[in-house]
Amino acid sequence: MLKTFVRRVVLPKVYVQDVARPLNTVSSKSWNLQKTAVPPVCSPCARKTVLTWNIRQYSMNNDSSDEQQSATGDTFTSKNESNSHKNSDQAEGTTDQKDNTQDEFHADNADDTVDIKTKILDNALDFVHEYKWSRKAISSGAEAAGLAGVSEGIFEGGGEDLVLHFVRQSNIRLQHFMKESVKRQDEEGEKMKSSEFIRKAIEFRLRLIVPYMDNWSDAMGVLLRPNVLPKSAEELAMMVDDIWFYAGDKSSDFSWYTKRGMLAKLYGSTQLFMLMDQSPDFKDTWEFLDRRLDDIKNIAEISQSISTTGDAMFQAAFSSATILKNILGFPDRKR
Amino acid sequence: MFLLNRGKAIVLSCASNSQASYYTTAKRLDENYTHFGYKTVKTEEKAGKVLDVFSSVASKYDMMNDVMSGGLHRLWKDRMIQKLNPDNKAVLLDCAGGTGDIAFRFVNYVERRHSQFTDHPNVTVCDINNDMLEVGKSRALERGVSLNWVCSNAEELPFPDQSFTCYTIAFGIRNCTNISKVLQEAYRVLRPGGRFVCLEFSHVSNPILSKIYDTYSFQVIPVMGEVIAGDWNSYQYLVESIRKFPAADEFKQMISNVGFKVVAYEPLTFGTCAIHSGFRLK
Repeated sequence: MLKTFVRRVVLPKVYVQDVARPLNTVSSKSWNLQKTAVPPVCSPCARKTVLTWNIRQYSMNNDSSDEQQSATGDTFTSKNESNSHKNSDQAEGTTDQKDNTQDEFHADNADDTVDIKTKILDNALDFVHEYKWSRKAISSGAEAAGLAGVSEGIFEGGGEDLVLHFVRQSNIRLQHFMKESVKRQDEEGEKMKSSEFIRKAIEFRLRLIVPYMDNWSDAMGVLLRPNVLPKSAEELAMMVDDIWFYAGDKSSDFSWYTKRGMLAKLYGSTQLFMLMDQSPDFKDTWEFLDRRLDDIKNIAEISQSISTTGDAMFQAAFSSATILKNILGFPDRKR
Repeated sequence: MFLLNRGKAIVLSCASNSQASYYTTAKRLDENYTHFGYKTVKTEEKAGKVLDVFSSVASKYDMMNDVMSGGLHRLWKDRMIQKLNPDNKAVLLDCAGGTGDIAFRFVNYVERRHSQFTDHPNVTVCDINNDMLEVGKSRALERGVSLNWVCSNAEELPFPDQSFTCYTIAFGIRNCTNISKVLQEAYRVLRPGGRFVCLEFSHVSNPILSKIYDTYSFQVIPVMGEVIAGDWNSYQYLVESIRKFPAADEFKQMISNVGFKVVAYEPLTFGTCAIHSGFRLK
C-alpha cells in the first residue's frame, strides 16, 4: 500500500520539475544489486548505535579553522537506545570541556548487553531479503549469532528496532566518512564548497541503502509509524545536522533551522526518487540530486532579488502619493 | 441439612486455623524455617506440604482456576505464550506445569504460525507432583498431543546444562522452597539466547483495589475451595502464599542476580499477576 501511495501521490509532485518518465513497477530481477564498498564501522562505535543530541558548544578560544577538528570527537556522546538502558543521565552529562578520548565516552555506557544486541541485529540484516523487516529476521539473525531464536524477544519493537538499527548504523558510517573527508581536506589544504560536500555526503548515505533496496519502501513505512516516528525524525534531524556541521556551517540565526529543514527535504525527495530509479548505478538519482542542489542555490539568489524588486515596485506604485504628500508639507517620519 | 453441615465444617476449620497459627508464629525464622502461607514450617518439610496441597487439589485444579479467576487465568497464560513468541525451533521446559496449560498453548501457538514442521515441538513438562502430571497426561491423550512428562523438583532438575531454549513457570514459583535455587537451575538448563518467563501472582498497587482483592482472596476463595473442592486449607494456603511472594521489583532483582539479562516484568489485571522475563545471553 505504501508503494502505491508513493507511486501515485508523492512521486508525481517530484516529477513536476523534471522530464516526465513512465512509472515502472520495481522488479527485483532488474536490479543489479551489488554490495557497494562500505567502510566498516569501527568496533567501539559499532557498540553504540545512537548519537544523543548534544548542543554543540563552540569553545570561545577555538579558531574557526580549528573548530571542526576539535568538535569532531568531543561534543558527541553515544549510547544504545535499548529498552533496558538506564544510563541516560550519565551520558548526557558530558560537555566539550572534558578530554573525551574514545574509551572514556564509550565507558559511560554501562549496558553490557549492547554488544550482543548489536551482533544480533547486524546478523539479522542479512536475513532482511528473506523475511523483510520482521521478528523472524531478528530470530534468524540471533541463530546466526549462535543464540537461541527466542532471544529476538529482547527487542520489544521487533522489526522496527531492526530498521532503526540500520538507520543509526548508516548514520554513524556517514559520520565517519565525513570526518575522514574533512581530515583529508585539511591535510591537502583544499576546502570543498559546502554544496559539493553535501552532495558527496548524501550520495554516500543513499548508497548505503542500495543493498536493501528491495525492502526499502517497507522500511520507510516502518519509520513512519506513530510509535517509531519520533525516533526516526530524531535520527533524520541528527544526520542533517551532522552533514551541515561537517560542511562548515557556522550560522547562529534562523538560517540554522532553514538550512537543516531544506537538507532534510532534499534527502527525503532524493531517497524517494531513488526508490523508483532503475538506471545503472542510479545515475539518474545523482543527476536529480545535482538539479535539486542547483535549485536551492537559485532560490537564495531569487529571494534576494524578489525583496529588492518588491521594494522598488512598492515605491513606484505609491510615487504619486509620495509627491502629493511632500507638496502638502507632511514630513517624512524618518529623519 | 447438608449446607448446615458444610457451614459447621467451615466454622470449625476457621477455628483450627487460627489456633494453629497462634502456636507456630512463636518459632523464630531462620534458615531452618521458612514460610508456608502464613505458617512457619521447617524448610525440609515445605516441599512435602506443597506436594500434599497439590495432590488434594489436582483433580479439580483446572475447574477451580476458572472459578477463582473468573476465566482470566486463560488470558494471562495466552499473554505469556504470546510474549514468549516461540518459533518451530524452540525447545520448551515447562516447570510446575502439571496439568499442561502452558505446554498445550505453546504447541498450539507454534503449530498455528509455523506450519512447516511435521512433528510436535519439543516440550517437556516437569512437576514435583505426580497427580498433577497424571491429569496433564490424560488431557494430552484427549488432544492427541505427545509431550515429555518428568516428575522432579524444580530446584534440582535432571536435565543436562543448556538443553532448552525456553523455560516457563506459571503460578508455581511461589510454592518453591528456595526461589534462587530454582532461578539458578533455570539459568543452568537454558541455552545462550534462551528465555526465562515466569507468570506469577503479584501485589496490587492501587490501594482501593488492593482492599477489594484482599477481601475477595481471604473471604471468598477459601469458601469456594471448601464448597466446590471440599478443601479449605489448600486454598487458604494458596492466598497466603501469594502474599508471601516478593513484589514484582524484588523478584526482578532476584532474577537479575542469578545472571539473566534484559529482565522486565509486565503487570496484568491491575497487578494481580505479572509476567517476568529474562534472557540468558552468555
